[in-house]
Amino acid sequence: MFSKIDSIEYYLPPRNKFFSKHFKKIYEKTGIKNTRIKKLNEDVIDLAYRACLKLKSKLKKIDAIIFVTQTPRYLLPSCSCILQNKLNINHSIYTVDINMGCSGYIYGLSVADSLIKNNIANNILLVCSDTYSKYIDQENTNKYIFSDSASATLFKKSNKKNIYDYSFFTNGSKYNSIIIKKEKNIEKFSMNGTDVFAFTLEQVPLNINKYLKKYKRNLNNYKQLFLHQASNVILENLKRKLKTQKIYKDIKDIGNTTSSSIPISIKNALKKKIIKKNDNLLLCGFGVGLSIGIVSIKI
Amino acid sequence: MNKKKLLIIDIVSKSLNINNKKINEKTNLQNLEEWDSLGMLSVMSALDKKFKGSINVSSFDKVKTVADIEKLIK
Repeated sequence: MFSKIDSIEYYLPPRNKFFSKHFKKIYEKTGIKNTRIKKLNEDVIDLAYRACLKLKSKLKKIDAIIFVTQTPRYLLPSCSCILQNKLNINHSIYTVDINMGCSGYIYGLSVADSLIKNNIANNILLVCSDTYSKYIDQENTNKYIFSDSASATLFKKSNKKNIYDYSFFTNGSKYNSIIIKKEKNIEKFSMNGTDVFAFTLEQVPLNINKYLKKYKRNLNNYKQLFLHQASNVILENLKRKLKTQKIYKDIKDIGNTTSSSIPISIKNALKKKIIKKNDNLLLCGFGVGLSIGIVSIKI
Repeated sequence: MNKKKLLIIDIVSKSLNINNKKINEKTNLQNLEEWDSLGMLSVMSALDKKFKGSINVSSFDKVKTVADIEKLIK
C-alpha cells in the first residue's frame, strides 16, 4: 500500500504592508512586498484550525494528525492534541508534533507516508503552522521576510506509488544560525543571514544533485521544482546553481512561510495551472537545524 | 595590488552600489554603511557567480577586508 496527497489547503492572515526607507533595496533582495502577520490573540492552533476547516467533510475520516511547528502554544501538551479536540475529530487517532522549520514539510510528509505504508493510519492530516512574528519585534529586520501561516495537507491510501525516494541532511554544528532564545528574559528570533545563505548556496544544490544521481534521475524528469520559498535572492541563486528555470517562485505577496511554503506553493501552482494532476515534482525544504529534506512526488 | 584583488574590489563596489574608489585592499568593509546583511548577500552571490562556486562562502561572516575575501577563493 502507498500514500498520496489528496488535498492541500492553507490559511494566511491579511497582508501586512511594511514601511521602510530602504524598501526598494529590501524588496529587490527578498522579493517580498507584503508579509502576513496574525492578530495578537491568535496562535498556531487558530491558524491551523482555519486552514483545516477548508477541508470540510474530509476531516471526518482523519485518523492521524501530524503537526509541524516551532512556535507551539505550549511546551506541552502537543499542538496535535489540541487541534484534534478543536476539530472535534474522534478519539481513535494518532497525534504527534514535529519540531522542524523550513524543511518540516518533507519530514512531516515522510512520517505521513510511513504511517500509511505501515497500516497505522489511512487518512492523515499534515498540518504546518508557525507564527514567528511572536518572536520578531519591530527592531528585527527579519520582520521583512517571515510570515505567519498554516497549511493542511490530507494524505490518503493509494494503490500506486506517488511519493518516493527521500533524502535528508543535517548539520547541527550550525544550530544557532537560526534560533529562538532568551535575551534579557525575552525569547527572540535571530538568524545569521550569511551563514544561512552560505549553507543554501553550498548544500542545497549539492544535496539535490547527489539525490538525482543516487536515484538515476535528472531535472527533465520533473515538471517543476518546489523549493522552500526563503527569499528571492536565495531562489534566484538556486536557479543559477542548479541550471534550471523550473524552480517555482511565489513569495511577493506571501513572504517566507517556513514549513508551509512548499504546500502553499503547490496549491497555488495547481490553481494557476502551472502544474496539473499526475505531474512529477521535486520538493526540497531547507533551513533551521540546519537541515534539508528532499522527496519526489506525483501530485 | 594584484588582478584578483582589483576584480574583488570591482565586484564588491558594484554589489554594494558604491564608488570603487571608496574601497582599497585595507578598507574595513564592516565599517561601510552598505555592508549590512543584504549587502553581504549581494557580494556573496556575485562572488559565487564570478568564481563559479570556488569561493568558500561558509566563512564569509568573518570577512573584514578584500584580502580576507581573496583568501576564501580556492
